Amino acid sequence: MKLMPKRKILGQKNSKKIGTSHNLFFFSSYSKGQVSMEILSYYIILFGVFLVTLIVVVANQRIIEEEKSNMDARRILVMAKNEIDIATNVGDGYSHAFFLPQVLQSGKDYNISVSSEDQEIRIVYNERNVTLPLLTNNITSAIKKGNNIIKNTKGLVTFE
Amino acid sequence: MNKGQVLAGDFFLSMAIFLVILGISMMMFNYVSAQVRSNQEEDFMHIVAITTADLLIKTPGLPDDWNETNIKSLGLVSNELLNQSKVVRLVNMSYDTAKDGMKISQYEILVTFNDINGTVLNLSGMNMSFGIDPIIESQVVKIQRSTLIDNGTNRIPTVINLVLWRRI
Repeated sequence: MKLMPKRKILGQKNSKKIGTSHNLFFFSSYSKGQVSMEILSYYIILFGVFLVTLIVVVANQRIIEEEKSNMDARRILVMAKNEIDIATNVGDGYSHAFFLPQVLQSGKDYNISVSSEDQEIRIVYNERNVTLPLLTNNITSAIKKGNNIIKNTKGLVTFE
Repeated sequence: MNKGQVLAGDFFLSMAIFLVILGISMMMFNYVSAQVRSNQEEDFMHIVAITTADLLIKTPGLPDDWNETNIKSLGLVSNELLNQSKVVRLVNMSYDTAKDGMKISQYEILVTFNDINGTVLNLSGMNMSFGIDPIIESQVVKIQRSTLIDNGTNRIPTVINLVLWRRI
């Protein structure tokens, strides 16, 4: 049987060997201080990897949240625009109730408004805004979050 | 191999495997999220293209006799038909002003008025085409609408091709 070369024990002459030949970590020929330093360095490396992973995951999470807000804001804008366009196209006597959520799905606030002057509907969220044109500028009163009833009275579109 | 080196070898091997898996996961995540974003954007561009086409062929514009200086909303209709003078006005208009009138500041647009054979209409000595051709690396949405242009004496059957695009 070939014998392994005996390792030098650094530091002290009579340093006690740790563990046995069955020791899980095979540190039998190292001093305690040396082993501690080695394990510490592994922990530092692991911690570094953990930090990098954490940063990547958080960055991706933020991208997902932003995309979610973006999609939800556009969905609300298109829904409101369609309600107004349908009321415009159907004509006098049309009435329909619809609901706009108080906040976006991500929990962020938003602001929606109709401008009859510019014949457009606009949503503002996360310091971004998206605008869509409307088929009519004959609109009075403001669209609001929550329950809305849209009506067409002789061509004039109103919200209640 | 020394006994002490076994730990370091195992450790670095497992960490390397972990980092490779993490890297592949991140690459897959980025690829999938880019695809989803692209699809979402294309869906929204479809809605904007349909809205813009509706705006052009269903509304008279704001004000009704709009021009480059007073335009608030762009529309080409008079008496339920496209008005030839408004179409010519659109073609002669500055690109940015027309985009503002169509509320499509985040996208680029190309609108062509073709006859039923697909040839670009020539009215008042000009080809009825407005906007910028899509570049190669762009996301493009195309829609078509059929309508009539009224020039006072005749009604010209017209196919409007609307191309909405954005740089990737």
